[in-house]
Amino acid sequence: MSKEDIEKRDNISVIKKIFKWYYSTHSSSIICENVERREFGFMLFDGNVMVRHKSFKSILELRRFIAELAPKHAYHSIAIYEKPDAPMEEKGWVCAELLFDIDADHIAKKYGIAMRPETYLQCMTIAAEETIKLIEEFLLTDFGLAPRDIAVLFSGGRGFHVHVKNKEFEYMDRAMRQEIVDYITGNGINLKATMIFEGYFLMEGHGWIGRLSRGVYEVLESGYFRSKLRKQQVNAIDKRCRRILEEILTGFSGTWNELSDKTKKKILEMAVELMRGDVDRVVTSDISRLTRIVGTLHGKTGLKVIKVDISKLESFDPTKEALALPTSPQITVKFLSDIGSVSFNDDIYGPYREGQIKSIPIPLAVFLSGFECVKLLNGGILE
Amino acid sequence: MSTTFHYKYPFLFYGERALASIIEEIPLDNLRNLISNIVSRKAWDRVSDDPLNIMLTVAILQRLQAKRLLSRYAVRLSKKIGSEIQRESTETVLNVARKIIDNRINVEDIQLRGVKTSLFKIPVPTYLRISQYFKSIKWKLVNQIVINGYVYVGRRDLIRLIEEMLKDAIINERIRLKLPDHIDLSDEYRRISQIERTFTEKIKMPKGKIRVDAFPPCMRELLSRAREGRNLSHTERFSLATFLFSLGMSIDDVNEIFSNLPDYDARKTMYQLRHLKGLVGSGTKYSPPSCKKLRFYGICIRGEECKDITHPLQYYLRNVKRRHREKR
Repeated sequence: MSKEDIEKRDNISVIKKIFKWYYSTHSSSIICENVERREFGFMLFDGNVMVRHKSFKSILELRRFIAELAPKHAYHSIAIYEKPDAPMEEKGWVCAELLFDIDADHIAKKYGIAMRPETYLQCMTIAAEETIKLIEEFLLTDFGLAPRDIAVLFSGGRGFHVHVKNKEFEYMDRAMRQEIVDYITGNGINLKATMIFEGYFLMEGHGWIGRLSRGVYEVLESGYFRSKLRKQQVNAIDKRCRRILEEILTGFSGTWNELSDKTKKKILEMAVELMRGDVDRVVTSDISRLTRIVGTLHGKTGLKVIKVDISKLESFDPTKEALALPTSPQITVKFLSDIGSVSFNDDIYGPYREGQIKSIPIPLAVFLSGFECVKLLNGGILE
Repeated sequence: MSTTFHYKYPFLFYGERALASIIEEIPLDNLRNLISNIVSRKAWDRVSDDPLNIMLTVAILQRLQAKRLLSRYAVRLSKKIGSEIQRESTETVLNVARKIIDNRINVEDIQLRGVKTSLFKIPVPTYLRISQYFKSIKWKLVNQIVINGYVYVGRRDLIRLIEEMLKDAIINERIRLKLPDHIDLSDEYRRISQIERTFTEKIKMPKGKIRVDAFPPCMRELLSRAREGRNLSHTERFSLATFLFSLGMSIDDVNEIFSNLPDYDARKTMYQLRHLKGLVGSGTKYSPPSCKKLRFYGICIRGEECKDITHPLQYYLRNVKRRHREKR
């Protein structure tokens, strides 16, 4: 075993103790509807083993089980089954919430930001904006869902889960969900068949007609196209840009139609990229997906899965609002790499140097350990 | 408003009652004659213009559970209705759409290409339930106008959706036309089940070498992934193995293909392959999933060449035959 492996193993046994300590007093915050008809799965600290196909008769039984096991991650199926504990083929799928996964890691990368303890809050803010876009532009406006059909969860880790609980959407099969996610991500859109391609714009328009109209306007106005096209194409646009922008607002642009089909298509592709919703395509089309249980801890952050009010998403600070572990006493850690200042629970910590030994609050220690930045030195506080 | 359409297809508007109310008026002997005529003339091969003939044909095939004949007839009938409804008023089209598809369907004017255009609006989940069976990219939700929970389509597209839904409703008996229980159909049953049997005879596979170049795109993809040792899901393995077995490949040959998979376990794989072949367990021989199921599993790769294909074996057979002809 390498030195790194030993350090990881030591962290795991300390964190497991902390989780067990937490669940022994907080298991009542674990919430799950229709417990008896869902499948449950748990990732254990020991050996990173996944236990699946579990079922429970009541929420109390589930809470007791989690408190006893103190798993690293805890999941329930989005699906409701006739026999939740049977093997996959015999479960008898009844229906499942429509689930969207917004991954902060992936979205921040598009903005050139790498997910690190120092950038965590910034990445989560970007993910929250993407979540708001998904809900307001697609789920409410295009699909006509009501706010009461939608629940947003902070995943405890690096993103948000949006659950749609609406009878008609819950019975959708895999192919239908695939269509929903293709719609949101603009996948398979036939740009040449749209009225925008023919020069008709509708800035206030609904759905992708409005989205493409506004997208093209933004691509042209911001000059975003300059770095993406060949010089000749850029010149052709530059010559006409002001006129096209004026005409778009009137609903028809003859000047736009002077551009070559190839150029128009390129601009429309940029508009799609700009306007699309960025959700994980695999998660939404999987009708038997496991997703995190509200009130359980995320093994890599120590933060808990909680429901977030849509109106509060914009200012949501997970390190404060999803804080689960006690902030005192502190725990001694050894830093394994240099890190800059980290905002956590309304305080700023660090910077720290590699090799430095410090006492810091338990939640921060677990959080940093998920990024493999620290080794936890159990100072006897948990004995 | 044309009344002929209502007269000709009363079950579109009144469902089960349409047939029941006519039957009440017919003496039993006449009804028996009509029924024997329908069966002896194989009325399901051509859709008649007589409303009673149409309803009785559906009723007989539904009562005798003649699934294959029923689905052939349903395809023909819905196509015919589709082409005739083209000439009907918006009100009639809307009426039928509400009865057959969803009673929330409505007409609304929206601004398109600078002009007010009258379109039909259908709830999103309802639209998806039907359109997922259409392969053309134009039916994808992302290429539709979606506003506030509704998909907006033109008249022609709505009629296409009606056709599809109607076909499905007849086959799955959501539109159910009933004959009185006391009418005995045992003679007809014998004749019809004989005809049905000719459909169920196994498709014969051409002997000789398996032509991978004639595979449908989905199977070609699965095979090449298996050969490259990339992972396949459970359903992907099931689909590929049953497909290869249907082409006459041996257990050992299929096993060898799977041996490249990252989590290959010789004992488990052999057991599962033997299971699919019906050599262990319940003895059921599994056949490869249809295109509909492959779509549901997310395995389908919509190819242009797939057009009217409903089963991967059908694709393969057609392709092999075509290549054979071209060679000659």
